[in-house]
Amino acid sequence: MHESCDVVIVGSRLAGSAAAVQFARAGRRVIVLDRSQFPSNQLSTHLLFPSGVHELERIGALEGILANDPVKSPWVSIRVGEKVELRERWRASGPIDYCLCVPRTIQDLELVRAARRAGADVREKHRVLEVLWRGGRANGVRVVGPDGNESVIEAKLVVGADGRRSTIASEVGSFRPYRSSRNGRGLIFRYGDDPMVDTRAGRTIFQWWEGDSLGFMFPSAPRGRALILFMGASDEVEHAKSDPDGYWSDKLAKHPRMAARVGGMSNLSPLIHTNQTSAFFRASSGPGWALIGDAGHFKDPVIGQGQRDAMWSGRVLAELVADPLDDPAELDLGLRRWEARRDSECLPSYHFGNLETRVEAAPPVLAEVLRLRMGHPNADLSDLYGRARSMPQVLTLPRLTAGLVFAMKRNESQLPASELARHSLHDLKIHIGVRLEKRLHRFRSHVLLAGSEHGNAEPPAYRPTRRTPQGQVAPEPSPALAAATSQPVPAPQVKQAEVASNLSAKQLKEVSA
Amino acid sequence: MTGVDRSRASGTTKVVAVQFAPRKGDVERNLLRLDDLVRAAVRDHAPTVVVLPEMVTSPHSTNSRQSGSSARPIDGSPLQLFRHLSRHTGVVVAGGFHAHRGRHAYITYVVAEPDGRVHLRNKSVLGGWDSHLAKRGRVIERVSSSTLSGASVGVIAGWEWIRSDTARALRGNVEIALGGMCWPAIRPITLGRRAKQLDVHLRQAELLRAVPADMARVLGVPTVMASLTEANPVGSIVSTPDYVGLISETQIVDATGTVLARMGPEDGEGYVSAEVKFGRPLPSAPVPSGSWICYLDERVEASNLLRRAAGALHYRARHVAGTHPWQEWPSADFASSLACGDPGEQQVATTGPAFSRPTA
Repeated sequence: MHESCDVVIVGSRLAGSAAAVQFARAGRRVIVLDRSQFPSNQLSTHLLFPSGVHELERIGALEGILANDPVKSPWVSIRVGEKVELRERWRASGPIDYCLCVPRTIQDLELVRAARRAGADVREKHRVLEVLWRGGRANGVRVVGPDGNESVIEAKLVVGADGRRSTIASEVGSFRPYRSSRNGRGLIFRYGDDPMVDTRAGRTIFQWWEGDSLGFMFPSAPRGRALILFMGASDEVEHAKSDPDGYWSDKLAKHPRMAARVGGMSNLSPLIHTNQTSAFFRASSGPGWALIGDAGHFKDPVIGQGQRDAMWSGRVLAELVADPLDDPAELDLGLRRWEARRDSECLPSYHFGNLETRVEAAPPVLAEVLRLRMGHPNADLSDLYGRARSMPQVLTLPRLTAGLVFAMKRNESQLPASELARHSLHDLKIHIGVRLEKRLHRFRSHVLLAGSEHGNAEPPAYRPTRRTPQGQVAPEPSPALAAATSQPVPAPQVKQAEVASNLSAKQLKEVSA
Repeated sequence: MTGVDRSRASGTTKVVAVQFAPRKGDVERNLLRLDDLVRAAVRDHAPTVVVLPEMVTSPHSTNSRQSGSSARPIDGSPLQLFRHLSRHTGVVVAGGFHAHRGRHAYITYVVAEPDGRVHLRNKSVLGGWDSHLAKRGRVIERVSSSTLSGASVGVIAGWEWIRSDTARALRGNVEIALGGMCWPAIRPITLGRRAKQLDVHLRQAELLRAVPADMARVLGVPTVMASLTEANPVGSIVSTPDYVGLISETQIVDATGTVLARMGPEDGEGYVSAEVKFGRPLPSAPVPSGSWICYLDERVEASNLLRRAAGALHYRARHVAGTHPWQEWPSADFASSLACGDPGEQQVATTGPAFSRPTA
C-alpha cells in the first residue's frame, strides 16, 4: 500500500501526541505510528510540574486525565538534612497551579485520544522499518502493520518521537549524541497507598536530601496512590535488584524524615528501577526530519522535567513548521530554528540535572539559598524545580553570593574552610558557564562545560534498524518496557490486563511465570 | 582531508561524468532531478565513480537573493543526497554545492564513498561570480579513496582546473583527478557588443575544451571534469545582461590527454562513461611557469580579477551586515573528512573546537 500525508510522526506518547495535535489543528494531514497498543506502560516516574500539566491542557488531554481522579499537588516541600525545609506553593503556569503524577498507562492513552480528537490518524502496533529518501530529504517511511503487511507512507516531514532508542534517529544518521553526560544516580521507585491522602501532606510533592541520597514522594493516581522514589548512587540499582526488601529498609533508615512520611504506606508494589539515564543531545533536525522528545534530547530524570520538555518540543515544532511545510527550504530553516530554540530552552535544565545527579550531599551554597527562603510560602525557589523559570533566573548571582557567604559563615558541612570555598567556587563557575553558554547561542555546541558534564556517558547503545522480512512484526521489548513489566504490578492503579495487552505472547509468558 | 598512503594504488575503474542542467534558485527540484540522473547513470553504466559538477544546487544567477538562497547547511540536503546515493548505489559520488559551513559559505566539493566516508574541500580559487557568494578555501587537497584501493584523488573545482598552483600541488601526489565546473562565460567589462560577447564566449569554450587534457598531461593521470549546462544551451548564450551563458564541457580523459568521452553544450543534460586506468603518474608536460596552465584571454583575466575583488568586498560587506540569506540559518560545521561507520552513527555538524579535530 502506498499513501501520502503532510507529516508522519513515529511515536505517539508525550512528544508525538503534542506535535500531532498541533499539526492537525493547523489543518495538516498527520499520521502517527506507534509500535505499542494503548494503554501501554513506559518506565517513567511521570511527575508533571504545573508547566507540564499546562502542556497537557494545551494538547487537550487534561480533561481525560483528570477523569481518572489523580491527586492535584499544589505544594512542594524540599528538605535538606535536619534544619532546612523549604515549603512553597507552585507558581501557576497559565491556569494550572498544581502538579500531577499520573501513570503512563493512563496518561499516554489520553494523549493518544487527544491526538485522535484533533484529527490525527494514530495507528497502533505499527513499526517503522526504514526512512525513505528522495533528493537528499527524508520523504516518508516504510512501515509494517499488525497484520504483517508492509506499506509506504510519503510525507513532507518525518518526525521521530520514538524515545531514547529512536529508530528514526538511527535512520537519519543522528543516533550518536554529539554531547552527553553520565548520570551519577539511579532511579528506584514503587507505588503505595497513602494514608494521608486527604491532608495537605497528601497533596504535597516531597523531596528529602539526606547525605548524598535523594528521596521523593509524589501523590499519584488514582486518589490514594503515591509514588515513592529513591535516587541514590546508580550502583544501588544492583542492590535493589538482588535484595529489594533489604534495600528498601536500608534507604528508609537513611531517610528518617522520609520514613516518617511514607512509612505507613501499604499495598506496596514491587520495585521498578533503572540506572541507564545518561543525558544527551542529538542533532535533531535535518532535511525533512526532526527528532522530538527523548529521541532528540534526554536529561537526567533527577529533576523530573523530561515529560514537560517532550510535550513542549513537540508542540513548538508544530507551531514553527506547520505553515512552511510545503516549501522544503523554509521547512528546513524552520526545523533548524526549532532545534536551536529547543537547545536554548533545555540547556539550563540539562546542566541543572547534571549538577543534581552528582552523588554528593546538597551543595552548601544551595542549602543556604534554600534556608534564606524558609518561611516564605509563595513560589520562588520552587520555580527552579517546576521550570517556571530557568536555573540562571532563579539562582541569581547575588543569591548565590549570599549563599556562599552564609555557607562559609555557618559551615554546617564541617569541611575545612578552604575545601568548602573551593567546592563552592567550582559550582559558582558552573553557574557562570551556564549563563555564558546560553548567551553565546552556539548551535549544537560541542564545547563541554567543565564540572557540569560527567565523562564516560552511556547513551543508548546503537542498534541498527532491523530490516525484518514481511510478516515478522513482533518487536523485541525495549529495555525500559522490559524493566517496567518485569515486575508483577508496575502500575497498580491500572488493570493487569491492560498492561498485559501491550505485551507479546513471549513477554506475557515471562511475566506470568 | 585524510592522510594519503603513498604506496601507489593502481587499477582500472569505470567512471561516469554527469552534465547537469539545474534551474536557477530551485535547489530542491535540482536535487530531485540529480537523484534520478545519477541512479539512471548507475543503472546504465555500472560505474565505480560518478562525477558531478560543482554548484549542483543552483547555477549562478543575476538575482543575488536567488543566488544567496541556494546555500544549504553543510549537513543539509545536498550532502545527504551524495551520501545516500553513494550508500544505495555502491559507487563513489563526487559533486559540489554552495555550502553554509560555520560562520561562512563556501563552494564545497564532496566525495562520498559507499562505506560512509565523506571528504569535503572548499574551493580555493573563486571566480568573479563565486566571490559574491562564498569565501574561498585555503589549499588544494587530495583525498584517499577507500573505494579506489586507497588511490589518492585530486579534487578540483572551477577555476582551479586552469591554475598552475593546482598542478604543482597535485603533480606526483595523485593517481586520478576529478571535479566539477560551472563556468559562466563572463562578458569582459570592456565589451558591450553582442558579436564580441559571442566571440569571447566561443574562445572561452575552446579553452575549456582543452583543460581536462592539459591537466591530465601535466599531472600524468586521468582526469574527469563534469560541468553544468543549460536546459536550452543555444538560446541562452547571449541573453542575460551580466553573463553569456554557461560554458558546458564534460570530459573523461586518460593520463596521456586522450579524450575518452565528452559532452558539450550542444548535448544538454546527460552523462558519459569510460574506463580509465589509474596508477603511477606519468606526466607528459611540464607545469607552466605562469599562473595558468593554458592561455587565458587578458581581457577575461582582467575582468575576472576585478570581479573577484568586487565580489569579495561585496561578500564581506553583506556578511558584516548579516544580509546573506544563509545567515538566517543556525550555523554548524564538521571536519573535512568524515569517518565511515554505520549510517546511524554518522558525524553531524556542530559548533565548537570538535569539528576541527582530526577524525579517524
